[in-house]
Order: sequence, then structure tokens, then C-alpha cells
Amino acid sequence: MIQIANVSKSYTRDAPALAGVTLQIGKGEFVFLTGSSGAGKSTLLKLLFGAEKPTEGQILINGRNLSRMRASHVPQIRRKIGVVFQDFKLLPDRTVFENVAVALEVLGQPRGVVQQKVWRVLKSVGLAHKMHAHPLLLSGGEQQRVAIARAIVNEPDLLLADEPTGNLDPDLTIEIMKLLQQVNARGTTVIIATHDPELLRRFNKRQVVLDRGRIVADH
Amino acid sequence: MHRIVYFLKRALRGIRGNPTVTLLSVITIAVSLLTLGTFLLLYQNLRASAATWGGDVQVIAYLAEGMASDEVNRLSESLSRLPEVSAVKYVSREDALARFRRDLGGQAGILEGLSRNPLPASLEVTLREGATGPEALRAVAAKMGAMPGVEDVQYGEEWVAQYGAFMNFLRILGLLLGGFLLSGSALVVANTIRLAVYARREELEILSLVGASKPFVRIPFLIEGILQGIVGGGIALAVLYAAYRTLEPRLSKSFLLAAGHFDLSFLPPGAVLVLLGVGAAVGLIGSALSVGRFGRS
Repeated sequence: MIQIANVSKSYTRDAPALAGVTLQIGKGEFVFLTGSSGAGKSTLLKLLFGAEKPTEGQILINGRNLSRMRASHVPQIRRKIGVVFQDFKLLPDRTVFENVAVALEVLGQPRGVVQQKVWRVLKSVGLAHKMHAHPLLLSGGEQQRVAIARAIVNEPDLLLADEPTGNLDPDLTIEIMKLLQQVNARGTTVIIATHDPELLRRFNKRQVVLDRGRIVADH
Repeated sequence: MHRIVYFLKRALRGIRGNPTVTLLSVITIAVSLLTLGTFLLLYQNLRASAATWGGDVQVIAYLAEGMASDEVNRLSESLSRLPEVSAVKYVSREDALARFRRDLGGQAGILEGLSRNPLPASLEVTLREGATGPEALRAVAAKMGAMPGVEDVQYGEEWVAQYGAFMNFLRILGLLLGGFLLSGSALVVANTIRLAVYARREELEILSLVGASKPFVRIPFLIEGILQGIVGGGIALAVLYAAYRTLEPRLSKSFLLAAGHFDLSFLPPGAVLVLLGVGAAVGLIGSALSVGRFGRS
């Protein structure tokens, strides 16, 4: 599903953020992208959802070359990729419902369809009863569940999560990880960037280890 | 349709999120359109009023020498039949000389040395009300000049030229001033929208993340700009109309207007729509200047 071929990314003339990364990830896989801070995990995720283009190399997602894609086509790709961040990235002045609905509104879906799909996905993450609450009234774990709901409401092929449990305590971390496993069980490829060793130890999944922009292990 | 309503809701939400800055933007547009509208109203009414200044406005057709009286009569009848003409008066060469002598008063002695009367006979044509504006005068003078037996036509060309020059000046001044103010307004709108874009950067980042296209992101801001323009235009028209209703009774009684039996009028519906359209265009251009930059960043 994802083919990363000899990808490099440089922001300055000093050490590149990524150097010669080659990686293949199959459909339905669950992969941890790990390494210390500055290893290039977040950079690789940004390249995968088209926020940036590689300096060298190619990235193919479902056969589409992201590295050669025109900027105007990137939104189409993103509609099939869900992204979750450490800081949740929710709109504080909108309700939980509205935060999730935005992912359907950009597709021009009618109001009735939006209501149905949002309710269904909020139920799946256990937050249907908080549909009309504002994010600031929710716990960290609940906010992250809303972010995950927004990321999966369009039934994406790929879910990228950048340190999704970074701001959460251990119990909530497990809660979120179980939710991501459920998403993966439904067929979505999941890639999680994390440097939490406890997560890596507890969840026995494929680990791609980055160090100073290079893949040093893949097991 | 549902998309348009959605974009409109987002635009209104944006306006509510930035009410003070939006209000300043609207007021700037209103002031510019009020200036333009005032010039337009002034121009329109001056033009209409000039067309009705009547009574003493005359066109004089100087006759060729040696015209027989029946020729003069036929010419006089032809002139009377012109739709713009209300009266025709024949002034013989002798009458003209006598009038000239009276006008000279104490200087009339200079005419004693004349061996012959140099003054031609003429037909003094009085125009109907509504046919005395500069364009009408020129048109009638041209018709009269083309008639056989008419050597020359005079109608106060200097006044007409001065009036025309003044109206041109008014039109150019109005367009320049209006154009200058409207350009400034567009920049104010651009700034307002830029502030709105900045204030909503989190929302825009999320929209981008979930795959919103550039038009999806930009259209609500463009609508915001258009709404600011239309509301600004509406305010300008309301103020202009209020001023017109207040001043109209006093101005109507003024000598100039009373002399011409002329009634002031407000801008016609077409001009009102044009002003609102200009407001909307200024708002649209201003917001396009800002969101264009955002899209590229």
C-alpha cells in the first residue's frame, strides 16, 4: 500500500531530516515508527500526508506518486488519510459533533448523511453521549478519541498518528491504543510515531526504528 | 444550494468572530460609496436642472441679407414647427439698430457716422421648458443653422461650453475621488480578511488536514468580503437618502430650482443597484487579495 523509495528530506545544508529512507508497508498493517526526538518520525509522517514533499526519492500510496503530485491534488489524497496529533488539534469553539463533521463537510455530504455518520463514529469511540459538548470540557483521553473519530469518519485507508498518547497518562494511553487497534482490525493501515518504550513493549507490532534520519532497524 | 448555505454560514460565523474589524471595514466602504453616490446625485440633478432652465433662454437666427418677407414668414413658420420651439419673434434690421442704439445709451453717437445699417434682421426663438439644456440648445441651433436663409445662429455658446466643462470636471473629480477612496477601501477589506484568516488559522489548518480544497477554504472569506461591501453600500445609500430627504425641501425652494420649476430626484433604481454592485466588487477584490496570498503560503 505504501512504498517509500530512497526518500530524503533536507531543510538546511546541515544534517538532513531524512536520508535514503526505503520502506514498504502493506495494507492493513500496524506499524510503530520509533526513534529518539529528532530521528525523523514526524518528518516522515508529514511526507506521507502530503504536508511536505521529499527533497529526493518517491512516495507511492496505493500507486499514486505523492512526491510528484500537484498541490491542487493533495486534498483528494488527504480525504482518504486520517491524521491524529499529540495536541489533538480540535476547534475549542465547536462541539464534538462539529469537530468530527468537518471531515464530511469538505466532501459536500448532505446534512442527513453527516449526522448519521458522525453519530455512528462517535458511538464507536464511546462518545455519542458527549456529541454536543465542547472539547475543553472533555478529558485528554476523550479529546483524543474525538480526534480519532474525525480521522476515521471517512473510513480512510491509512491512519497516521504522531505521538497520539504523548499528552496522556498510562491508563488513557492504553485506552487510545486499544481504539487504534480496533481501527486497524477494520482494515485501516495504522502508522504510529512514538518514542514511548512502554507502548512498544506492550503492543507487539512491527517497529521501524529511525536514527538521525535513517532506518536502522525494521522488525 | 446546500453548499452555498454552508459557505454563507461559515462567512457569517467569521464576521461574528471579528465584529469590530469587520465594522471598520464596512464603514470605510460606506464612506467611499457615500462620496461616489453624492457626486452621482449632484451630477444627475444638475444635469436635469440645466435642461429645465427656460423662459429667457433664446436662440437667435440671423437672416441673410435681402430676404423677401414671404421667405421670412416661411422660415418663421418652419422654426415654429420645431418641437423645441415655443415662440418666434421677427426683429427687422431697423428694430435691431434701434435696440442697439438704446443699449449704447450715451454712446449712441458713434452710430451717427454709419452710412448704412450693418445689423442683420433676425428671428428670436424662445425654447420650451425642458428643451433648454446644453445638448438641446446645440441640437436646435444645428437644425436652425441648416435652414435656408439662416446666416448664423447664436445661443450663448460660451455659457454652454462653461457648463459642459463644469459637468466634465464634476464627473472626473467624482470618478477620481471615488476611485481613490474605493481602492483604499479594497485594501482595508484585504487587511480585515487577512486578520480573519490569521484569527482562524487553526480552523484552516484542520480544514487542510481533512482534505478541504482551496476553493472550499477560500469561498467563505470571499463571501465575507462581498457581504461587507453590500452592507457598506446599503449604509451609504441610507445616509445619502436621509440627507436627500432632509435637504430636498429647502433646496427645492431655492431661487435656482424655483426658476426652472425643477424637482430634485434621488438616484434611480439602476444607479442604486450599481452602487451596491460596486460595493460588492470592492469587498470581493479586497478579500481575494488576501485569500490569494493565504492559498500560496
